[in-house]
Amino acid sequence: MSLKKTFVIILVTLFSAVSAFAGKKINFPVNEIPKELLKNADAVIRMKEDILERKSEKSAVRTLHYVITVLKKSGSRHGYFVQPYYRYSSVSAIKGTLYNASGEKVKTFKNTDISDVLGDTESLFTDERIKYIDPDYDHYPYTVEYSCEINYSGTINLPSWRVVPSYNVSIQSETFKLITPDKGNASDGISYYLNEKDIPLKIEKTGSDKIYSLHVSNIKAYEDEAMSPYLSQVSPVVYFAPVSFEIGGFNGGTRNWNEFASFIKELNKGRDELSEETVEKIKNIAASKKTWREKVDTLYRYMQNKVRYVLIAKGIQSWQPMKASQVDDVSYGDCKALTNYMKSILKVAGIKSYYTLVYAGRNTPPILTNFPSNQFNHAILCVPNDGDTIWLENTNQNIPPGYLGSFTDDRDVLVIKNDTSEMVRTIVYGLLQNIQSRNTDVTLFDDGTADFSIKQRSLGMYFDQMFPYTQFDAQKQRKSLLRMIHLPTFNLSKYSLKANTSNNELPEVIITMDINSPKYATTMGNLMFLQLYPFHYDSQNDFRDKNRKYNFVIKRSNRRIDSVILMVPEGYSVAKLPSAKEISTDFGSYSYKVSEQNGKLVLVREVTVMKGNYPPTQNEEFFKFQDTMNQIDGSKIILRKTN
Amino acid sequence: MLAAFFVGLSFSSYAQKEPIKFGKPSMEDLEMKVYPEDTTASALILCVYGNFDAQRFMYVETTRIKILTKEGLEWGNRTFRSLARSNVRGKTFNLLDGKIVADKLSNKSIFNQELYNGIYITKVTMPNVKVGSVIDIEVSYDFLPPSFYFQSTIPVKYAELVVGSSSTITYKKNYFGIIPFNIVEPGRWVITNVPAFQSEPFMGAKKTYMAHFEFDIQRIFIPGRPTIEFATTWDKVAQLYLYSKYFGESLKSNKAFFRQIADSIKETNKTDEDIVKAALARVHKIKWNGRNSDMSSVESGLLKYLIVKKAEGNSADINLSLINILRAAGLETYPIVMRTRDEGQLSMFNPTFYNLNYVVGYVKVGENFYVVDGTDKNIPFPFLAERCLNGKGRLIKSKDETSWVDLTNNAVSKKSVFYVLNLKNDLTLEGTETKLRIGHYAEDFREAYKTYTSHQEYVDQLMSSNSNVTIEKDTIKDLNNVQSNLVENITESIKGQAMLVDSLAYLYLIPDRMTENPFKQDKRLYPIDFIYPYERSGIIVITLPEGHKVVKLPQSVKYALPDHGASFLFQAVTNGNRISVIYKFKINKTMFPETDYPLIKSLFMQAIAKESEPAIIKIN
Repeated sequence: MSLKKTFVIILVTLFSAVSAFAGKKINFPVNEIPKELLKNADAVIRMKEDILERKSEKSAVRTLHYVITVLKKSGSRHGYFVQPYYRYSSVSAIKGTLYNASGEKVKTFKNTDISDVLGDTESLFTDERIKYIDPDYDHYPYTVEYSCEINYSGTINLPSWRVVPSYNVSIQSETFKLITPDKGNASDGISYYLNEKDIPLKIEKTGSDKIYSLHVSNIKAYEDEAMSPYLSQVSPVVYFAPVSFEIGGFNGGTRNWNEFASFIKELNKGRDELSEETVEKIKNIAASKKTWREKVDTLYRYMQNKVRYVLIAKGIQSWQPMKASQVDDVSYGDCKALTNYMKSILKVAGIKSYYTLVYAGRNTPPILTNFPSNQFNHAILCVPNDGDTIWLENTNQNIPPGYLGSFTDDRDVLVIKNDTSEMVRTIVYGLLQNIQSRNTDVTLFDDGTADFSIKQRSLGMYFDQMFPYTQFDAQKQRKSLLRMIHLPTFNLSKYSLKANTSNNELPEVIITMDINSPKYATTMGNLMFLQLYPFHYDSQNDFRDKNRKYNFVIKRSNRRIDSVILMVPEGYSVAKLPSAKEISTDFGSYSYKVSEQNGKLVLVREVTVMKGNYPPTQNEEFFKFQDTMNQIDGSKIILRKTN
Repeated sequence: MLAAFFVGLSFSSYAQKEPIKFGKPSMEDLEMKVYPEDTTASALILCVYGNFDAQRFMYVETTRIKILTKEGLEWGNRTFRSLARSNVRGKTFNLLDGKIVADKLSNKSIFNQELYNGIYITKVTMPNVKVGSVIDIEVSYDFLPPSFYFQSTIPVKYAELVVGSSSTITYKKNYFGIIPFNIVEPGRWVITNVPAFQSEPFMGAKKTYMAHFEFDIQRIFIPGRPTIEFATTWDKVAQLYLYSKYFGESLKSNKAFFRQIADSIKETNKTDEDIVKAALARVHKIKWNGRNSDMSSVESGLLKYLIVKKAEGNSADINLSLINILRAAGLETYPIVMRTRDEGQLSMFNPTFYNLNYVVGYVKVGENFYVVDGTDKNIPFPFLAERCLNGKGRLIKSKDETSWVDLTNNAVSKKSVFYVLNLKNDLTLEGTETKLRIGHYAEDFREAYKTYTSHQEYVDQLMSSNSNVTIEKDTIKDLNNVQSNLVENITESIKGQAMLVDSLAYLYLIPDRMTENPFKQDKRLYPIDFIYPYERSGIIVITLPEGHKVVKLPQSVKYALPDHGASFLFQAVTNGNRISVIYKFKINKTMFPETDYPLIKSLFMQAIAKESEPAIIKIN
């Protein structure tokens, strides 16, 4: 061994005489993949077997065995083995093999190749973990074969069958199977839901078991198009739910939403007691306010100031909220605990509210309202008042009472009431809320330099987008702002990034920037050329594709308003004032208007985009809409020296 | 095993109190809500303490990190360098009901992977990390640490390194960075309140600039045995390589085999350059397994087997073979030992052995020497893969003749466009574009092109990214022939390049002009690294419709940095109803000192401004 290596033990053996002579078995060579499965594909599932055997309400065993060929670097993530698990499940018997393009075995993964990491870096107190294997191989194409066994104890969720797991992945052969005991007792069974009519689901009975199975083959890769619907909305998925389930000693069922809601009610029962001291405090606060709304708002602010959000997903605590008194003690809790806590506070003040389950996320598919089952990941509070419902998001210290934001807006949620629970739709934020308004003052000098003073207010979905920036450290904030500025050459001299969440309307993020841009205007003799709208830059327009397959979705209506006031330098005047431009389409409208007032040019630009689910045939129209806006935004004005 | 030799030997160590003890954070640490020196910090290294105990020949590094905000939670997942047989332990501390509770790091959450030469990457995922947590991590191994970092990308409140001195081991250290020390004593260095390292664009490896030491062992004295010398001098380093079975011996073995290859190359290749290209093509047949190394993976005797039977190897297997082939072909060739770009540049002050991780060839072609690397078949000679472009490497001519050489062939990567366009009455430009890509431009393009499943998909993407352009036809020549330049021919129409005011048209002359300055910061702390010299140039000929007249053209200019490290030239002339434009933007040097930043930012600014100047045309 070389001298350098004598001090450091080397475990690498790149050269092994044994493997050179061993007989080479060929597995899944790449050239056996049918040509049509290579189109638009980053990876190909060569085979997959997903078999779930449900032993009882409380336990199930799942065996997964699949082979996937990663065709190129953009598909490398498909080569990883990733299997999450938590308190009620465990992963074992993990095996993996790596083959090269010709199908020769390159490596068998050992225990040391299997990593066990924390599932969610966001969650602070969770037992969700992930087993994963990184093949660490970059000679494309290559094939990996993985298998494992997953044991579930407590089966409130049954894995769904996603025929198409991802965009740009084609499928050669896939078999799903679900075996469940069928002793004639309806409550032992499972219910299923097909999101597409013609999914060839087979149901057979053998002795005391019922077998659900699905086999598919030769499915071409789905192409990822801009703004397309969720993959689960355009590809076949079979969803399952147990008719009855038991978890942590609590029983529940999914025959209808009411039955499911009862499970939650059981979990939450008797957990709303608060100490006498706290009850006194709450009563005093409530008494000090006159209207119902004021009481709710003030008590909400009280809760926000008292506690902070910590995700707790350990064992039964994944389902059952901490007692309100405990939240009061430790001053933290997760969404279930904080929502239950807020409900308890309002109860003391004599205000009725309902614990509500939701599937939260800024960009998530809708739940299946026709398929009662556990589809939720979050809890909020519904506070009704004769048709004037307020929704309370209890995990966020930075929003005013009644504000939900993109996290839980515009979706069906399960409001759990004492009698009949029901599906209700949460607030839709639209043109009156999703607003970005920006005022820019520009001072132009005759050498072409421009000084910009910008103030931007972001509300609604724009507040949700910009809020994280207010939490960054100074270095990261500055870097983020620099990335957002597309002036040709500039210096950012001053800036501020603040969130204003104290008023009881919409919260907003306010950004101010002072920028100096040398040679912003092109000077040529006695002429100056400049782009009046400073925020335009060359960007992608993904709607040129004439063969679009899927709808395109605009999730939220929004409006952006800009007013730019430019001080024309002394001695200069506009050669020709641009005429007003206005576009009106199905997707929204755009207007660009320039006027002259006392040596100042005033530009008002407004874009309104309408929420909608638009057919692919309209994509050329949408392209034109975006393209025309870009042309106008990028237009220049000419200033001429007069004398 | 070596530790056994050191027990009981005389030594002197500096007795100093440890700044922290693993597993014992203070209540103050737990209760801290914000770091006063940097109130926006998302996390903070409260203390990093490295201690090399020369008597026990063991290094222990203890790091204590405080998580201050949600953004800082990612510091609960740590990745660091270690050596084989390192011991890692960790604890997360949180306050529960006013008491400090600890969660231990489990072995399941420690993941090791070899990087090169026995240096490992260790990844740990700390349990139960929350805002306010304090994390203790301790790494220990029986060797001198390869490096010690005083600075990080978050602030460091206190950093201390203690290296006990011993008569049995002498070492040299190199300091990188610009932070001054607070305490410098023999064998002890302290820096307090180290600001978070700010990376800047065009920087190269952060490591080069973050305040840290790099160590190299010079001598080890084992009683009763001859002294083992390492990086005492470059000559000594050269000897270590040349006497090694994994380097020097490999350059002397299998002579007949390599001569055979050289002879067959010389049959069809007569010039030095052709021979080099053919030799590169031959080693490209050896699949590079992705590992960087300065030493062959096999003993010299097995090198031939590796090349012929397995056809796979690490970078040294490939490049030592390349050197052998070139020598057998009669070309003067030597090895250069170096470090790859992602590991940061080498120190010019002290020799090193430990920190080298790559070897390339140095071959004489005609009158000049060229650096050659055979690992990447997508890069044509004389261009080099980016990992090789890392300042200077140490040329080994013989066991007593070594020198620094620049790791570059000064090959200029070029992107040249040639437009022949007609201005139509509706102010669109129609015509042809020929785009020539040379060197890294060609390599980047070929890499990116591979992600498309069809040529049409590529063209569609081109039009999506530039809606002003409508492409009628697009062909690419020599896409798969890496040795030749990439030529793309496009027939297109371009809109949005002109505006009409009364009877004057204002026409932009350069369709693919630069619009944004890549340098957005107003100040710069560190040198600028462009990686390789490049040239962006174009010739544009625009024919105007009959009767149109050019009123004014942008003035021709030439700008250059004082030492011609970078330049921009622009020239526009009319000939009848034809406008001809030439522009050339060149970066000739790859590294510029930070003091040149205003000049460079200004050069880009001038080029962008000039390229935006329109021609003024009187419409018929």
